[in-house]
Amino acid sequence: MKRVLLIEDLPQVAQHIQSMLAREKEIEVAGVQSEAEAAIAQIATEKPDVVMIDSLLQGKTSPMDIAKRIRTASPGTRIIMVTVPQKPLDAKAEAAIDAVFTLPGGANELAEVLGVGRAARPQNGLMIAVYSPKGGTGKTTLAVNLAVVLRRQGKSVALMDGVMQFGAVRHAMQIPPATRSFVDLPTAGAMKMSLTEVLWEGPSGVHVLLAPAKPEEVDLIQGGDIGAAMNMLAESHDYVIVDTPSRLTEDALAVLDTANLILMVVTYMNATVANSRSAIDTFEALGYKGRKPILLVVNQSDTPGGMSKQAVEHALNLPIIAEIPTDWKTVSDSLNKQQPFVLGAPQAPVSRAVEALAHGLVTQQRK
Amino acid sequence: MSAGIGKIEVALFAVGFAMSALVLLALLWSGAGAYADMARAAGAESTTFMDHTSGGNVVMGLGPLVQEHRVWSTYVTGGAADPPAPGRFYTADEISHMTDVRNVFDGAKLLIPAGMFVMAIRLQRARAQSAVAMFRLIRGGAVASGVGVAAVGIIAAVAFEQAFLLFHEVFFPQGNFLFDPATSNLVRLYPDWYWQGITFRIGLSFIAVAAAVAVAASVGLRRSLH
Repeated sequence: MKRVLLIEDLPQVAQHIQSMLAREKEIEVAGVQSEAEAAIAQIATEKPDVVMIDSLLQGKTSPMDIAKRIRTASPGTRIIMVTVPQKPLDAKAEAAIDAVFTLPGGANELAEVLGVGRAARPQNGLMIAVYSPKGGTGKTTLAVNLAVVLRRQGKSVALMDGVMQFGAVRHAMQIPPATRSFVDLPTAGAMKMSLTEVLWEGPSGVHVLLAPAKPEEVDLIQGGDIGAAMNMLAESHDYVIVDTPSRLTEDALAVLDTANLILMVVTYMNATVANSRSAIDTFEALGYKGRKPILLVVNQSDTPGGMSKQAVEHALNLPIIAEIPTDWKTVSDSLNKQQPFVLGAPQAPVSRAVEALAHGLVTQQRK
Repeated sequence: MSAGIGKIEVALFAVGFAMSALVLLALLWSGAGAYADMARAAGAESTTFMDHTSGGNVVMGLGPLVQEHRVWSTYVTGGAADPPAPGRFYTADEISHMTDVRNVFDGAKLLIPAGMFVMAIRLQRARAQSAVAMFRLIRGGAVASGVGVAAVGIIAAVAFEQAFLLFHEVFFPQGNFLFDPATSNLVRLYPDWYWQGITFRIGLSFIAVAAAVAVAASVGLRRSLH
């Protein structure tokens, strides 16, 4: 169930939207607030999944400023602006909002902006292995930020740290040291019962399954359990993003075997491309070809002196679906503050590029 | 009028009072809440709009209708700088007419300070004579304006369509206020019940305010005489 809070000062309009929301099975109305301050206080405490704000709301704070404050108070909350045709809004042009619902609007339009319904979630969620055969390509950073962006687009998202030894996801977000990890999960059938207890949910709204904190604990984990955990997460989430180890060890292969899609992170450097070619050859040997898509994402795409896009596509015989520009300051700030840059600097080109990647993945899944 | 308050003084005060109060009340009753109340009272809680982009019809419940009205009322009363965008529901001609309505409102808003100025001058003159004269002026002006608005209201009630047309011909001499009810969403948003409802509310609330002012002035007059 998604909890939706409505910010609306006209009772007739609130009633209309509430009656539309009541028809959505996956929606629970968390409340209606007519004033900005009360709404923001409730959102900061309850962190609803979705907030709908009337763009014609009257008061001291403008609706767009309310959206910005909500984004800060609850980064994982999807923000939908409600408008009318004669006051058009573009969600892409406004960083503070995720979608626009135009009255009178139909049930399908509402379901789409809320991210619910059959169209939004056909079966089990999509399991994406974010992989790179070479360290230092930004694989973990991309996995974390991609998960947060997908969550902001209204999808339910699980982020799993598949790097069972020295996993880095716990350092990319402000996760308390005592948070439970994969090693705390029972094996086999009992795993499903305990899965929700082990998942950590931060302000971004992404459910995180951490790798063990201690390197020696990796011995307690079996490849079969990794695949089983991914499948269970896919039953309850639209997207399961897995940060995958670079070495093709048992745990890495468990992730890659289970995933529906491999997102291979490369750079325009020769060494990365050469290793990626070897990895793709291995994938073909493992029978992945034709069975699961492998998509290329180029990180640090504007680093000078590297190979051209065409040369990389030719060498790997795969299309590049996204290029993420270099932004050392934004990325290092984000890592030091343990806050995904898509939340801390949503307007930065690097954040925009990750958003475009997420949009591309969602579109591809729909197709 | 006795105690030095002539009919012209009372008439001027009544005109000033009517100018200020009627415009203020028109602004007050232009809100979304009043629109919703009028729609409910008329049993018109939904209507059909034409979608100019698809050529189809769209059912508009009370919520969306109130929002449509809010966009327009905010614009014509000066709460928003830019006119609403044409397209799905409104034509360029309808937008243009509403821009004229906004211009009329801009002009009407000047009547508030102008009316108050006229009242202040009359009051000052009467007060210079005596408190009795001042209260008589207020009472006489309030009664006269109330009677005048009631008379106009009765005429409007008997021949609303003619009065409505006359009003539009006076304020929109360019003649761009006539739209085909078969295709115009503006006419569907503001059908007869809206104009009758808002005229009735403005008129009735003005008479109530005028009566309250007249009663208060009578009390003041009585105290001054004693």
